[in-house]
Amino acid sequence: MYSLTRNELMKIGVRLRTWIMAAIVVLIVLLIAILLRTHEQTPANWQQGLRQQNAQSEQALANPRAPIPASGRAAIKAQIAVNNYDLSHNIAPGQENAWSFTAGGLTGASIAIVFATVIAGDIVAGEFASGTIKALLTQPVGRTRILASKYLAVVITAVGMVALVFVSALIIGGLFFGFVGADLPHVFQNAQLAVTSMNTSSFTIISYALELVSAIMTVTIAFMISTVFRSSALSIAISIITLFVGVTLVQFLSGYSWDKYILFANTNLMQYVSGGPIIPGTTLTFSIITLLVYFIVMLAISWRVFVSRDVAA
Amino acid sequence: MAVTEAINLDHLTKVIGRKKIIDDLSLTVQPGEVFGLLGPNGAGKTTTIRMMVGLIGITRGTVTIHGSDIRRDFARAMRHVGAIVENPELYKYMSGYQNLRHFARMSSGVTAARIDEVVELVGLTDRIHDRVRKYSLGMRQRLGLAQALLRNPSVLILDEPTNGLDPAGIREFRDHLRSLAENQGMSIIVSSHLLAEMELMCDRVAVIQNGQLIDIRSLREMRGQDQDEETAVATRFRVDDQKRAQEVLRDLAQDYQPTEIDGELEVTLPASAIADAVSALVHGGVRVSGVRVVIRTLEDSFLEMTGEVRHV
Repeated sequence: MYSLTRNELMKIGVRLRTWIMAAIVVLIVLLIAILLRTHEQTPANWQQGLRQQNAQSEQALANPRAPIPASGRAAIKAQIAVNNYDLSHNIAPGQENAWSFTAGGLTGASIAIVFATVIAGDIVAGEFASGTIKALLTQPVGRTRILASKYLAVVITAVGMVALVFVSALIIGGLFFGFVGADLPHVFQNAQLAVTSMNTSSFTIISYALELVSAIMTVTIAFMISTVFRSSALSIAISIITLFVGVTLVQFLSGYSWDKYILFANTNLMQYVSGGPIIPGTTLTFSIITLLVYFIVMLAISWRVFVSRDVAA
Repeated sequence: MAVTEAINLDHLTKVIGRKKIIDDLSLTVQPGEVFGLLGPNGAGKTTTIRMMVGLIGITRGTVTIHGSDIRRDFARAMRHVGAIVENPELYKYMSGYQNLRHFARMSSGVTAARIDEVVELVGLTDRIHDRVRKYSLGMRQRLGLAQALLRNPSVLILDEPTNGLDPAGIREFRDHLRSLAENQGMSIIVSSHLLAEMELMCDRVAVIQNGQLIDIRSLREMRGQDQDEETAVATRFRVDDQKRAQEVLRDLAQDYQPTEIDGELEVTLPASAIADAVSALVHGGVRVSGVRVVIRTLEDSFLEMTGEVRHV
């Protein structure tokens, strides 16, 4: 299995397009950094402003005549903590740092996922299109093992692409805005819409880890399409269209009760950490089970089609 | 019981929809034998070959290679097999060497030394690190053969291997195959619609038409190499007087049926009787200016067997 997966990764790795796509990903991260840097504005006397704001907040919290509800108190306390961190680390509010830039760069991960989808959409169909499938399947290796090695290579590529966004954002962010901010509190609303805070580095790592789930589900769709169609161009096109239409479809069909069973309503697990579910009533457990069912069904279809196909042309 | 056959097809049948593509095909190939599958386009040669290497599913019947069933024990059966199915399409974006390393990783025990050995054998040493995209068709064919030979197979299965090759390439390829069969005892099964090619390459041929096996013939037999003195052969005499010659030959033996073909006189008679016939003709006053034994080419036999009209 190791050598088969190595073969598949070699076939991805020797192709120029793989490296062009990787270069584009890094370039986009770089462009965002340049854009943010040139538009960065730091107000003068921001330290004074923050101290004033904190003092007012402390007063409001201590005021017995106008009690603030618990959720509001938490939000204010979180903001005080952020302000204190900024003051002690000499970071102007809103100023980027390596970790906040990386967290924001998650949007750049979607282009990386599109590229991984291109590779996944080609991985089986490409062998049929070029005729190399005949040589590949007349070796002393069963079809199941060949398909498994291809899937493994696709998953490794998807993870690699997301990791590339993470690492390049962290490095470029650090070079542009300073390697600070790992323990800067990140204030956000949790799934119950209560304001909480977390280390920016922890929040960023959780975001990327959950983005991996989305990436793997997306390439699994492309992989299935790749085994069904024998033309790689068609297979890549259908995969990418599915990717874009899928997300829109969830919003479009939000009126229906079965909307929550659509794969794309569940791929973004970050909704259960921050911001709350897109579709009210879904839970983390529900999404995980839905994803698992889709995952198993898609791989089963891929396997069935690949193993029983006659290689006639 | 030890299995001696290299390849055994037993009642092999392929049904697609309602159509029988291959109908109850049985044959065996012995070690060291070059075996040809011959038939017009669409007869089922390619389907048969593809069923033998697991590219196409088998509806009924079995394919066994050195005793291993291709369906039940694919990996073990294929360990004995090197295959080229039609034009050997390999990865164009990789070098010849990268291609070979790729396929070497798919079978156990193929060392770097073995890759070099095979590259040397097919004569690609100078260009092996070039991208396949830059290879000529002949070079791709040789690389395909190298791929098939990597794991030192005892059975080579080739589907239309000379398609698209120029005459020099065909000849070179054929010499390769004959030497592999003769020197290494490799069994080779090869499909083609090129009769003259098969005639030069094969020990035996199976003729397939409409998915059915029509006949299996030894080419040695067809070439007349295995004949003894008593086998009847068609013999042509070039004579000045047809009528007189026919009379003389009828007098010589009752069952001779001399006929005039293309201005010559053809008689089917035992090889040992040719000298007597010439002597009788000369004594009968017929001037004989030529005698030759007619050897049926594979093409003649093929057309005879398949009942096809020759297209000129």
